[in-house]
Amino acid sequence: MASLAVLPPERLKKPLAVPSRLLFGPGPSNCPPRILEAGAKPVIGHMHPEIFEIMDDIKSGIQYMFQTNNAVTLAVSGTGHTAMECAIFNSVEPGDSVVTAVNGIWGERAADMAERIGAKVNTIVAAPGRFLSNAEIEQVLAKHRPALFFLAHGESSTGVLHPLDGIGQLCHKYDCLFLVDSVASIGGAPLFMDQQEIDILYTGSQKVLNAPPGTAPISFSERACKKIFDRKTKPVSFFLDLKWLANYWGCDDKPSRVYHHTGPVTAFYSLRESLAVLAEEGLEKSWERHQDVAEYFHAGLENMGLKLFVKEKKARLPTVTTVVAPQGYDWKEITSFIMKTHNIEISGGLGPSVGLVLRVGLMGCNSSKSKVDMVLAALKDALRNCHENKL
Amino acid sequence: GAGLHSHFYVNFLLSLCPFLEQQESRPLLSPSIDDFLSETRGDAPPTLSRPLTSNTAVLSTTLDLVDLSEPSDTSGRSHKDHRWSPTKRSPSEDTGLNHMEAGHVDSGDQVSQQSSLIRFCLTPLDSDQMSCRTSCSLTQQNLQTQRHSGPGVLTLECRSLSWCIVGLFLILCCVLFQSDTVFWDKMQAEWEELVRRKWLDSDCEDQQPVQTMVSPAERGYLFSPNNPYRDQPNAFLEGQERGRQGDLTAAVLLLEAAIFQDPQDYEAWQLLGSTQAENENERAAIVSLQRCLELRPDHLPALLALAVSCTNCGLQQEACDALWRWISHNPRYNTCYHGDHTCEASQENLDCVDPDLQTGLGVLFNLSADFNKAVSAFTTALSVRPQDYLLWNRLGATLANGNRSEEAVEAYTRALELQPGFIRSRYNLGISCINLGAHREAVSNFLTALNQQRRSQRCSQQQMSSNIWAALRVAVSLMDRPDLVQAANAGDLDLLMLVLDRGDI
Repeated sequence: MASLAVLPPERLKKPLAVPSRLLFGPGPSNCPPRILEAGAKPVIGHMHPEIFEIMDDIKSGIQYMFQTNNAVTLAVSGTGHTAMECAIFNSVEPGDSVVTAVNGIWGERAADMAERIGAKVNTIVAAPGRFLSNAEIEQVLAKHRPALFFLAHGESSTGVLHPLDGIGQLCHKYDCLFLVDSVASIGGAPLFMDQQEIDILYTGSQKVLNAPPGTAPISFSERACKKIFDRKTKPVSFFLDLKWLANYWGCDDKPSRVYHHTGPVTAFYSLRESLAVLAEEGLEKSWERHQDVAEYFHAGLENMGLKLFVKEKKARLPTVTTVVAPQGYDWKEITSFIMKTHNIEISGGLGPSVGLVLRVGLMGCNSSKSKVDMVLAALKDALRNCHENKL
Repeated sequence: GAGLHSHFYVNFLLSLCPFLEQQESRPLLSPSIDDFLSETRGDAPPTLSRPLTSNTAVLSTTLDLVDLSEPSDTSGRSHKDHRWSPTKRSPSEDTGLNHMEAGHVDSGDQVSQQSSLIRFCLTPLDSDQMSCRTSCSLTQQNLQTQRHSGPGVLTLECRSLSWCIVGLFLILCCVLFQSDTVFWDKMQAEWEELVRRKWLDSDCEDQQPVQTMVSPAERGYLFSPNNPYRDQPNAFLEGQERGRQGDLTAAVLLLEAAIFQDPQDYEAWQLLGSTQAENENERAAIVSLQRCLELRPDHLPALLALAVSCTNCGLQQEACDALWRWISHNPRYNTCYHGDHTCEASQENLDCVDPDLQTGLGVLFNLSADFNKAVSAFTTALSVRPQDYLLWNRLGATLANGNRSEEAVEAYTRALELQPGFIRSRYNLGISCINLGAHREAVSNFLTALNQQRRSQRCSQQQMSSNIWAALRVAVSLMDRPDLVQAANAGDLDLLMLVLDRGDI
């Protein structure tokens, strides 16, 4: 018998070492003990009746969180991007026209995904820190007659909260599906899926929900389902095929659930608990808390002489604040210093905002005035220590 | 010259390791794999093997320069002027004559940032001389080294900016250690070790395409409106004199007038650039210096000053580029060979300290965050020019950026003794005061600087440096005085001065 060509890795002989740190970046956020512990409970089968119960819990939790009665509501196995692909791969067929609103990185990514599956993609662009008006959106809908319109509600790369009212109605006027990304915003800012006529809505587990990354709630309206289940071609992804997913999650009217893939069972436990926590606090309370804390934070920043990137107050995303990178500093030094000295993670820019901003996320259990005070103190310390001298 | 400690420089390489492991703050977009394949079509397959024959490489006096600038850099230099391709570079072209062909990269339609592969190939001609050949090609290759036949041949391939800095530095070393072949073997070994380590540790961070910091070169120079000296005769000389006297605001206006009268006066552009830098107006400095270099690409003072200014702005690639051009245009260092003869002069010059070279080294070490070594470089320069207040400031800034704030304060004080009107140094002094927690002193320094800028010409806010205002706001905010924060935000210098004088700060 031949001996092993690859030896047991030395690295694995070391014990697993994970530091504790405060995550005030754009995500993932810290997990409170209740949610972490849920994820440590025993693994059971992905088709066991108990898991189906938990999945039903999750469904109802998502319906509450999204404010929807949609039957086809589930959690995709994966993170926000998985949900984005699930939404697009199911609702778009090759040759379909798609329009994405680009006011940060997420619209760009959605456009990329749609292109990959053969859609004809057009974008409508707003400058970083800004958002689109309904008039502009109507114009582009009329021009391109898309089958799908994508919009990021919480544009975390620029710190913008995009107003939603009236857009769903506009889309339906033009016989277009309305797809909204609420990964960074759900739970932190008001959103009413049914009322706002959103056809496909998704989010991630690792932001306001404070669950570990690994599941992505998503919901499809009847209108969306009609288009999806009437497809002429199969979706390009078997894993994300909604027919299969809807069956696994018990959203269809079939008598039993058929094996599709192995669901991430322990991730289901933490997601279930995070939804329970949200339901306990209440959506409106959660929205209010995030808004108050954000305003407290913004005031503190302005007192330090720092400027907010998003000029319009109502367009500021309460969960992710973008701060103009202060003059005379290298933003990377600020973030490194704060990580090293205060064990706090804050982030620089992303996509169109790279080099321009610092980003601070205050989500779920991290959204509190005491946490804000910590971040402000860390920033102050960084300003004191990181200023660059000029040769 | 060769008497310097090679150990020092080897240790420098090792100390660069942490720096090299950071991705540079402006990661560059790699060309797509398709571009790479089309570039190297004519070449041997992807392992960029271009074996050099030793003993044949020579250097021409008109070195083709490695253009590290981003194509979007609108300094006026056409990107087409400095293009490199691997296809033309074949060993058979090295005929040993006075010719250094860097080749051209067919970068095609790449209009956005590229990942530059810089190869520095250093070959000994014989036991006494060393020449250096460089080439640059745009590929997607990972780091590699190749050891070619023959001792003392050092090939360094640098994929990214951080490595370019190291490579650039090694060129400087080459110049200083030409005859030390032991040194070169050591260098090769160190380099390979670095590469090995970096290879193991390297993982691709989320390399987002980067938005350049607002390149000041995108806008033209903004001349002051209502310049009282516009028609002044001898404006250049007058400007020079006022600068010496420490009245930087007047100097700037006079130099602007000189340029207005003769826009091709490259010396005026350079002096304007240097003066703006002293006046803590970096963007104006960079624009002026780049304009000078458009007119006169080999003007050494402008190149060195540009390297400094770019370093301050975090424009690392531009700084490297300027330093590289400074070396290659510098007759002391771009050794020339005519057949069998060598330039004796350059060998001799290596024995005495060149404060400009030391400044270049100091800037380079600042780029690589090797502050202690930068301090040595500037200290060495000061040993030759102890009255040079610019050097004192550079020493101070290096000390401060290396967290030696008390010593920085001493250096700045020295600079200001020599030149009380040196706005930049006073700004730096204020920053160091902030670092040391001396907020009142910081505010006092900033206010003094702003006052000096304003007083000279009684002109608008425009003459005052926005950097100083920003730093003043920070200092004031750290004092927990919301009333002063408001005044600072509003730019109310008079109120702030009043409060300071009254002792209420």
